Amino acid sequence: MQAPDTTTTTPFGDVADFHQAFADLYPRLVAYARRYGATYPEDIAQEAFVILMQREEPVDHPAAFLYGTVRTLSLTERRPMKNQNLSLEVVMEPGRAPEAEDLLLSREIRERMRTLSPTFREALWLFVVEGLSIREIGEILEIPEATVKTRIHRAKAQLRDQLNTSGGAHVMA
Amino acid sequence: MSWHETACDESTADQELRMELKDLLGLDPKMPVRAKAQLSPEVLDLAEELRREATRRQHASVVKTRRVWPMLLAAGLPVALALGGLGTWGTIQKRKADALAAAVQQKEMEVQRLAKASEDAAAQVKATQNELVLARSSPKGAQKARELVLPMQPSVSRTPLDTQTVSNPSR
Repeated sequence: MQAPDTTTTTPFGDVADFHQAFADLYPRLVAYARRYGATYPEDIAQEAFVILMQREEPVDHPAAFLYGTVRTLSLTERRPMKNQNLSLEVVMEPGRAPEAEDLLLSREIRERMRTLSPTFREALWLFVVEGLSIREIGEILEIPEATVKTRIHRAKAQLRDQLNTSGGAHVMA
Repeated sequence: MSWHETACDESTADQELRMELKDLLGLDPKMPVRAKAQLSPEVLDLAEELRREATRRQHASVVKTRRVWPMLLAAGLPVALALGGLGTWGTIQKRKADALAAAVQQKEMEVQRLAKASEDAAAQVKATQNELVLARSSPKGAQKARELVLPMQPSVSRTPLDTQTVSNPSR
């Protein structure tokens, strides 16, 4: 293996920053691609990194760019199967791609997420579980920030309703 | 700024909303979402490989762009020459057509002038013929028409210098 050129700048900063960002984001992006039902989630995550690195124009939010690219590539991969209209919510059926969620969330939290309206689930996932900002989520989903906020607030309302109907009991993970 | 620090851009309200949602979902609100992962040699190798691939694609893209321009020029030159030749030929043809159109117009005007003159002459002939027909139809006119009428100067007819009037004894 060649020694990395430490003077090179990357969208994440210097090479060391890139290595750290790659180590942090790569598993998450693979899981994200898998949630969209991608056949080759690793390839898609790697391709997203290459696309980001080969860009000449700087990217304001590299993490958002990666998530958005993974989302697009995953949906494109499914296109020949005539399932291009599938979104994350549809793909996230129970038992479809459980390993992606198992990495991050407990079973109870997964169940709670599944009961949410599919429209709001993705925004909530990206905001809470992936830790992305409202602006980044807007870039990924290609919707206005106000829409992202609306979806998150509605998801919150649904979660509250859920807790009220189940007697308000919830277990801390 | 590292990608981990993106959350610093968030408003306090957004951060509080995330905490609240974590609580609703049963996640530990204190748990950092973007925890730093361990850098294993495999991950480093993969990261470097992808970085090299990105650099290679960048170079390939630049080289491809550099190669494309001369090829486009080479392909476009004959087309440009053909278009230029066609344009010149077209200009010449247009000039010729303009000159021909002007000549035709001039000839048309000449023909019209001649046609008008011919009409005038025909009208004059017809008028003369009408006059002749009228003169022949009247008897006086017909007799007159059989006589030879010579125009004479009045002075010549009234003052004969070398003639003498004589009487005719037979009458």
